[in-house]
Amino acid sequence: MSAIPPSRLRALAVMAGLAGALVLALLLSAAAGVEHIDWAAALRPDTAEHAIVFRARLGRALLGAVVGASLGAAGVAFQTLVRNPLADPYVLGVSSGASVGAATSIALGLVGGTPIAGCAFAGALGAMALVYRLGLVRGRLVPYVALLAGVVLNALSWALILTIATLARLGTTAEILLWLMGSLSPPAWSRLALTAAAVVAGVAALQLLAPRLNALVLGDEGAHSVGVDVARTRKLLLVAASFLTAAGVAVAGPIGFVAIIVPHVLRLLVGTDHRVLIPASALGGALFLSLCDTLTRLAFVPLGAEPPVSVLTALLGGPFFLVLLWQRRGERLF
Amino acid sequence: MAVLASLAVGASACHRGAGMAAAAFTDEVGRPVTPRARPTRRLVSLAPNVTELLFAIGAGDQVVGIDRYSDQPAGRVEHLPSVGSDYEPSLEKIVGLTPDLVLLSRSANRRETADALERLGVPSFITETPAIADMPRTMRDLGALTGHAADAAAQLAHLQAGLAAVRARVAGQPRPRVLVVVWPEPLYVAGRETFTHDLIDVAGGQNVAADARGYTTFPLERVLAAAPDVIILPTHAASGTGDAAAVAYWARWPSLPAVRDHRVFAIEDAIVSRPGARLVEGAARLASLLHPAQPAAGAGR
Repeated sequence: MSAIPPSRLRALAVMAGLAGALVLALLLSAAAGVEHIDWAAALRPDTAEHAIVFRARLGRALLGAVVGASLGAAGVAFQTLVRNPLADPYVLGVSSGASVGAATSIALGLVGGTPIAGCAFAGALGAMALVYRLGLVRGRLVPYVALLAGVVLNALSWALILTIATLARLGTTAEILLWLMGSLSPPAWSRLALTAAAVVAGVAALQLLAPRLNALVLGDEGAHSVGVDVARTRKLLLVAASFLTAAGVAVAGPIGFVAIIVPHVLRLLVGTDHRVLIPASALGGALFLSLCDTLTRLAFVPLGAEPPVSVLTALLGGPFFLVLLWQRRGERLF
Repeated sequence: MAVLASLAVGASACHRGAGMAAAAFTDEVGRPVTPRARPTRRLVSLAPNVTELLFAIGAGDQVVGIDRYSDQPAGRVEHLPSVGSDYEPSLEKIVGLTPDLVLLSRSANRRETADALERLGVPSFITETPAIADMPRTMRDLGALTGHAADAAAQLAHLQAGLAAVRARVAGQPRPRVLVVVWPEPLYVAGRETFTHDLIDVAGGQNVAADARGYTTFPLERVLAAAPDVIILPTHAASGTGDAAAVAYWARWPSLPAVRDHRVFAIEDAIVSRPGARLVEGAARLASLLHPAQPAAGAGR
C-alpha cells in the first residue's frame, strides 16, 4: 500500500483483477446451486445436468454479467452527463419507459419473455427520445432540464403503470409487480446474444466518447477550451447511455443500485479517467451483478424462496458503499 | 344514519349473547356477523369464487352487485352492477346497493374493506377457502346465510361425487410428475397448500414442487432435475391470446420430458385455482391432460 504504482499500471492491474474475478464468479455460478450435480453427466449434452450447469446456472450468470456491465458503464455516463454523483440511469426515465412497455405487454397477454423484453425496450427508447427532446433548449441539451423532464416522466410512468395494473385482470397486477422487482432468468441463447451485442456496442460507443467525457468534467468552459463540442457530446452521451440501459433493463427489469455503487467504487480504485473508468465499471458491474445473482439462487436453500436480485444488490452493495464513504470521508468522491 | 348505527350496535350486542337462536353468524375468520335480513335477500359478492358458488347454490337471484373480476357463471353475471376491484371496491356503490350482507374471500379481498363496511353499518362475511377440504364449510355457510342450505348441501354432494368420479377414473394409473407454472420469469410455481396442488392430486398426478408452499419462486435447476412429465400453465390472458407463446417458451428446455413429449399445456386459470363451482370441470380437464389414454370428458385445448 505504501508504494503507489503509476496510475496506468494500477488501472491495468485493477482491470486484470476484475476480469479474473469475473471469470471466477462465472465458474462459481456454474458450480453452485441447490441441486447436486453428477459432473460426468453434465458434460454430455441432452442431460438434465447439462441443462442445469450450462443453461440454468451459467446462462443466467452470463445474462447477469451482461446486464451488470450495461448498468455499470451507463452509471458512469449518466453521472458525468448530469454532473451529479447521485444520478443513475433510471433517473432520466429509461427504466420507467421500459416498465410502462412491460406492463402494457403483460396486461395485453403478450407474455413469455421475448414480447415483454421487446415492449420494454421500445418503452425505454420512447422515454429516452422524449427526455432528449424536452431537454433540448435552443438546440442544446441542458442536463438539468433533461433531469427535470426525467423525474416528471418517472412520476407520470408510475401513474400509468398503476392505472394499467388497476384496469388489468385479476392476477395481472402481481405479474406486473414481479417484473418491476427486477430479476434474472436463464435466457434463450438468442436473447443473451442479442443483449450482449447491444451492450458491447453501447460500451464501445461510450469508450469512443471517453476523452470528451474527461473534458466534460472540467465544466462547459473548460471543455470548450480543450476543443470539445459540449452540446454534441451531451447528445451522443445521452443516446448511447440510454440505449445501453434500455438493453439491460429490457431483459432483467429495473435492477437497482448497480449503476450507482459500481462507478463510485471504481472511481476510488482507478481514478476519474473515463478511458479506464468506463471499461472498468462495465467489468465491475458484470462481476457485482453475476455474484449477487448466484447468491440470490443460493438463498433459496435457507429462505425457501428466491428474493429478487435487486434485494441482494442493495443489501450487499449498500453497507460496502457506506464503509467506503466512511473510510474516504473528506476526500473528493466525484 | 341513526338506523345504520343502531344496527351496527345491535350486531355486536347480539353477538355478546352468543349461541342464542337469534345470534349472529360467525364468519370463516372468526368475526361475528349479523345480516340485515335472514335469510339475506340482497347480496353483494366481492370475490369471483363466491359469486360462482352463490349462483351454484341457487342464490343467484339474490345477488345485486359483484366485483369486476366476477365473470362466472357466464351469461348470468354480465348485467349485474360492478362495485369495482376486489382490492379496492367502491364502498359508496356497495352502500348504495343496500345489501343485507356483503360476501368477501380472505384471499381475494382485504380485511380493511370489511372494517370500512362495518363502520358504514354494512354487515360482511369473510369466507376462507384455501383448499378443497375447505369447500364444504364455505358452501354450507353460504347456504345457511342465503336460505339455500338444502341446495348447498345438494351442490356439495354433487361436487364431491364429481371429484370422486375423477379420482376413480385415474385410480391405479401411474401418476405423472406435474409442474404448475404460474409465471415463467421469475419462475413462480404452485407448491403444496394451493388449490391447484389439490386438483393435481385429484386428477392423478404428483406435484414436483410439493416441497414448496403456496404460490412461490422455485429454482429452475430444481425443475430440470425433477424432470416433470407434464407442465401446466394456468393462463388468464384474454381469450387465450398468449397461450401459444406461453407453451412455446418452454421449448428451450428440451431435456424436460414434458417438453420432449409435447405435454406442456395452457389451461384456464380460473378453473384450476379458484375455489368456485367449476372445480370438477378443472379436475376433469387436468385428468384428461395427465391421463390422455383414459376415457375423459372435456379434452384440453
